[in-house]
Amino acid sequence: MFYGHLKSHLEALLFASGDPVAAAKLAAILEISEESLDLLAAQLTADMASNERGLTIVRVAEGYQLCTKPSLADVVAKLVQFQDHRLSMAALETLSIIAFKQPITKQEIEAIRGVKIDRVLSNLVERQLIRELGRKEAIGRPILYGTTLDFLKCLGLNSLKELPPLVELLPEKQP
Amino acid sequence: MTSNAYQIQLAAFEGPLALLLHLIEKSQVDIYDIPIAELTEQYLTYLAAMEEFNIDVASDFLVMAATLLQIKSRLLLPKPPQALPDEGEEEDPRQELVNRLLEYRKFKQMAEHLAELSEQRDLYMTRTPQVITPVLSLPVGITVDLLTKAFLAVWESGLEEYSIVNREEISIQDKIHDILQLLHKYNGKLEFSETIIRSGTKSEVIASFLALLELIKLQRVTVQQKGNFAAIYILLKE
Repeated sequence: MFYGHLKSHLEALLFASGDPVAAAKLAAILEISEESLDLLAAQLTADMASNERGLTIVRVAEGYQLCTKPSLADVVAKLVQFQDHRLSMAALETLSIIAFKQPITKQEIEAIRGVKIDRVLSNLVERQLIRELGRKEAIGRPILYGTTLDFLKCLGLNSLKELPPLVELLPEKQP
Repeated sequence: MTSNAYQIQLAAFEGPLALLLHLIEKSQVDIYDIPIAELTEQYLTYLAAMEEFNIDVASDFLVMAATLLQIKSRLLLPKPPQALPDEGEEEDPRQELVNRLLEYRKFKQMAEHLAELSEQRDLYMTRTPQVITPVLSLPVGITVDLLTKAFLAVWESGLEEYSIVNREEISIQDKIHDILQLLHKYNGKLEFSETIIRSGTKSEVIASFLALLELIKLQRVTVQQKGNFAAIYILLKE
């Protein structure tokens, strides 16, 4: 491969960052095109695939991130007491509505879920899974909400486009 | 089943739509053709059970009960003779409720999908970002002579002009926000000194401490300290 010598550079960059790094940024640092960068990342991931290696590269939140392999989760978990930070069903329902209907106001979400959601909403803002996008030009100028990059990171998605379309979730009409 | 377990099950419903969906799925009826009379009866039985166990029935549940009863009565009333036959079908009184249930059901299913995604993602462990501090290289070619000259130049200029630097105002509200965000970033444990992230001035330390007291009062955090003047640790309450 032409840029083979850059594999070590890419690995070092991803390690030092910890967070996902945007593909465009990596390409700029290494002074190669984004296509070449994607190839380079694919090569490096293939090199890491062997059982002798514990890390892998994941495409997430519109960039690349160095992570431990999922097959080793049990081993890594022995290192520390992990905090259970799972989201409640109420939070997940609210998130799913925001993900598909953003920008959306609190009142619009409440109309779909049929319950008040003040607490859930502030919890999601605090965890930086959603953010205020601005205000709706309507009476009272209510706040509009949308999802964040952290939301994608938390679900391991590269972009919102990877979510299945809502239409597929409608039940069949019984004859 | 103990009454206690029953109670928990009753309170498990997020809202009236969630309860209705549960009832529809349990009795396996077609969501597009709901037997309103049956469903209303089941729904009201649930509410009665909730009241029996002294669970606070939220007003949302009562609004839905009224809606169900209204649909039921509209279905029972004889249809007025159609004045204009070409006006088409009269809308089914259940239609609006069915639409709401379908809409809610979609997102409920999507929420389950999101939960699955996040569970898969949790198998990948990642590092927190590295803080890389830039290393300042010392300037070259500086002699004592040059320094002395520079000092004299400053000394002679007499420094009579001065300007007032405004101190940065840091509100307690901002610091509350800072502390909560930092706690989430560091998995819910933090040393007090780590909350000083803005200007590092005395006023920030004071604002930060007042913010901490406020958070303790709100029961959002707890604090630990091994002895006098030891580090204060802040822990997030779940």
